[in-house]
Amino acid sequence: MGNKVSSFGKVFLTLGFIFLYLPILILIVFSFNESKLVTVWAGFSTKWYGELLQDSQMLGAAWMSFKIAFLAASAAVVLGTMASIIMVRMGQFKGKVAFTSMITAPLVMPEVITGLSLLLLFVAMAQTLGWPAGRGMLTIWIAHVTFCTAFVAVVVSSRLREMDASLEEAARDLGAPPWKVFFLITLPIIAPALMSGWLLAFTLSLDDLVIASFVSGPGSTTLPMVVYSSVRLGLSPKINALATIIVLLASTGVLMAWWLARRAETQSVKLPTHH
Amino acid sequence: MAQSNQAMLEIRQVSKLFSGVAAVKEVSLSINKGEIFALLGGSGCGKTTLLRMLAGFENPSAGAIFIDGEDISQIPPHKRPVNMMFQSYALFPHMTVAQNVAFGLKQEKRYINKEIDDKVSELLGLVRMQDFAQRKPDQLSGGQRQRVALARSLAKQPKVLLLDEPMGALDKKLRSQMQLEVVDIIEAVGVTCVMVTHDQEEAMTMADRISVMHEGEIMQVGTPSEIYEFPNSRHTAEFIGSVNIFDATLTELNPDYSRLSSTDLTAPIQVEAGINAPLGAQVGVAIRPEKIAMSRTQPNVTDNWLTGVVEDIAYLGGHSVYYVKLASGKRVMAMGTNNDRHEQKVTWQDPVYLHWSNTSAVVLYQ
Amino acid sequence: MSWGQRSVISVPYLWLTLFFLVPFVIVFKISFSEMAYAIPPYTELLSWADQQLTVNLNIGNYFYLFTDDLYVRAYLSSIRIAAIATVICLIVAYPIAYTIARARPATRNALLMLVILPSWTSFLIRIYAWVGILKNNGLINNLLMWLGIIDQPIAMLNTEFAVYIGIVYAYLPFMVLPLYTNLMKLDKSLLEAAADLGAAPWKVFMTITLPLSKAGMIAGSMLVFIPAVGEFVIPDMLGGAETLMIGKVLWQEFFNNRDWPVASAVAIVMLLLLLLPITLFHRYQARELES
Ligand SMILES: Nc1ncnc2c1ncn2[C@@H]1O[C@H](COP(=O)(O)OP(=O)(O)OP(=O)(O)O)[C@@H](O)[C@H]1O
Ligand SMILES: [Mg+2]
Repeated sequence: MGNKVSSFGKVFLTLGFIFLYLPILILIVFSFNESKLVTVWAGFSTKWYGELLQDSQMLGAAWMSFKIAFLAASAAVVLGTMASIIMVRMGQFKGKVAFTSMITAPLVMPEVITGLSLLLLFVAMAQTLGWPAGRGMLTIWIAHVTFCTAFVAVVVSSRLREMDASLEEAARDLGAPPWKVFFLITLPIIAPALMSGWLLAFTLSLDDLVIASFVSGPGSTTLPMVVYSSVRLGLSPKINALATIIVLLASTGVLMAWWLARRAETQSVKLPTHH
Repeated sequence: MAQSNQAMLEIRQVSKLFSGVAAVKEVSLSINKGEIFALLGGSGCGKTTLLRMLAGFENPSAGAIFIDGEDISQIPPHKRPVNMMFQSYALFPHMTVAQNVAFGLKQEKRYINKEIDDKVSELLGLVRMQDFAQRKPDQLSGGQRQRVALARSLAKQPKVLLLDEPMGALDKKLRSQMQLEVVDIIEAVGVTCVMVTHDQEEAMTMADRISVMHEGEIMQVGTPSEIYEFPNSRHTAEFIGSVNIFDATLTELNPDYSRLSSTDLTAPIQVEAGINAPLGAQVGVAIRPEKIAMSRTQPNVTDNWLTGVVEDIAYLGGHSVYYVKLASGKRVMAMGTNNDRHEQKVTWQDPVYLHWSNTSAVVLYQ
Repeated sequence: MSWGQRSVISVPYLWLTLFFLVPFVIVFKISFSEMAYAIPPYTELLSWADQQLTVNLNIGNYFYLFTDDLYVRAYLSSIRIAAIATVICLIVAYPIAYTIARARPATRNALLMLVILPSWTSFLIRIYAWVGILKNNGLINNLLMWLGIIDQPIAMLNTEFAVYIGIVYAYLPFMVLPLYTNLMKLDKSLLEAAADLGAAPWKVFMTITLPLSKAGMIAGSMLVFIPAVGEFVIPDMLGGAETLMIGKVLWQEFFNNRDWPVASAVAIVMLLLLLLPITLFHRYQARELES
């Protein structure tokens, strides 16, 4: 393709990365700012981290978000994996089109619509069935499981499609009943995809402001809700400190997962193979 | 070859339709105990579909399958006394070689661990893979993977072993070596074996009997030499090896010989024995290139000869194939061995004569 | 179909029907009721009095949406803003995806990860970062004034411009990923064949690469456009009072005015407007999921 294209590409890529990372970098830098003004440098300080760690409302919300994200991601992995198997392995059945629509639509559905519709469902259910009695952790969890399932299904089904279906047939041929084939063969092979699906669902849940705002009730405030009400009042270095911690956690997590995946890959190609 | 005439596998009138289109049409076969049986045919003829019905991955649309006298048509794959070696080998990538071979045994409650370990090492010994027991499949070469796959499918001592394109994933040189090796192992175990291949050489090398399939139907069943020497249809004759086929009319019918005439030839074709058709019938006459002799001078016979000009020569080392163009425009293949390096060779545009004996030609009715 | 298969299908099927499909039916129903000062704050569609079943279908909410021009303007400007942002996103993302797809395999994964990494950190906080950069005494204005290029701060925060930046910034990975997947599938020998037949590099790109990456462009564009139309956080934090977007209107209708029926009607009309792009996206995605 010639050097012109590749050097143009390099320049563009660099600009793209600057665009993506500079704002985050600035956030991090100003989290160490002495002054309360977020845009004027007034010397190095870590006092905002101290204040953050004493903000019990923030910490409580973070713990709440963390619990919800953990539980929602776990349930979404189960449902999303089942959905992937249905889509990839089960062939045609009545209602399959409706099913795939319900998997793909949540991927793009504007959050305000999802949030409003789920809230109205919960209100209607409480009215007619008496359940869920109040809105809170449970309703947020249900909402998050629902939209995270779609994302997990996309990740897992793409792995499932790559997987050689004859591996499952071979296991059946050797005498394993279908449920055993799933747990002994399919699951270990698609495990990395389940892991990435779980991480994706976890972050999506942790990150959600709009849907949670609709379906939460008194006493169930999540971290994004606290951050939102705090930034509405103006910029605060405490939020910068929080941002720095989140960036740090997320990037170590992702880098570690990536490194593990790389290591597994390089280990398996240690020996020359004929393909 | 350990075979008795007792049928181990019986396929009765089996058909398979995919959304109304028949992939397998009313196939009936009987495969003997200890036999290596090959399903041979071109791409899309339904071989894999038939094999998958034997394994239980597809349900027949009609017909029944019996193993050892028992109807297994309704039994799910994991309960059939049949094991399959997959074309891609389908070795479980997250298990070692030993774990792969042990997988089938572990699905049965009746073995204790020690028994399984013993059986696994015995099987790995059989396929000469004992040194690789702790390797993962992606650390093996193609031929090694194949041997592991074979050991895995033999582990449960199936009544019938199914091989889907067993050499499909190997390169040509390894292929001929593994063909003999696999046959040795299968015969040592004595298992009844059905294999699928589109490679006639592979079928001829490995199988005791071959069935030629075409568009979902069985065209012919027989030993490799029966199929080659006595093809019963144009399709079989053309599919197995190369052949010259003349369109001919039956002109003379006697109990011990018959004559036919072809518009491509000036001399009549004579075949030994009678022909099961009335005078004037239109049939095909097949003659294999290696059964045709070539000379520069006219042979001293009345029947079974032709003349033409050498149009092309394919030098294949041990022998050459000569393409001779007749006056009618038809091209005929003849084979010549290259046994003398300094021989005055026939070359392009040389006029030549071809002739064959009256036992060489085979009459094809369809 | 066996009992086991049936039960595997039924669990996610029932979940999604109950928590994704049924809610829309309820939104539709409530969009025909009237606001009331009660709990829940709307009237029932069916009432039973004097042995008479009355169906109170109130189409006033929809009527209201089309008489008060706030809503019509909000719909139109949402679609316009989302469309422009999607185009910018496509223009920025294409060269990035292209360059990554053409990089060496080892670099490729690292680069792709660098594109995705920011989305693993909080969306809200990434938008918040731009407030500090764009505002009147923010970093850009401070820098430009310090350099002496301007002496009055340029108003960037609380403009449509800021919303474009926000959408492109937040949704860029969603555009890059499908484009990258698509470009990776592109058979390289096609490009070589075109070059071999005498096409100049730009011509190869225009006649082979670009048309063959159409599916990726559509998927990426829908992944950006559809959620962007209903976006709330970005217009709220970066767009200011001037920027009208329907997601924000719905939010205010619901949380500030507590008018659930009108909010429902707003949602239903938004959904109708998005039906076509969602179908387009579904067709692409269904092919990806099943084939
Ligand atoms: N699951 C299926 N659904 C629909 N049609 C199928 C299916 N499996 C096979 N077919 C069709 O049935 C016919 C026979 O296919 P089969 O795989 O048995 O061929 P084959 O003889 O194994 O060919 P090859 O040598 O190419 O593997 C083909 O026309 C194929 O398209
Ligand atoms: Mg096949």
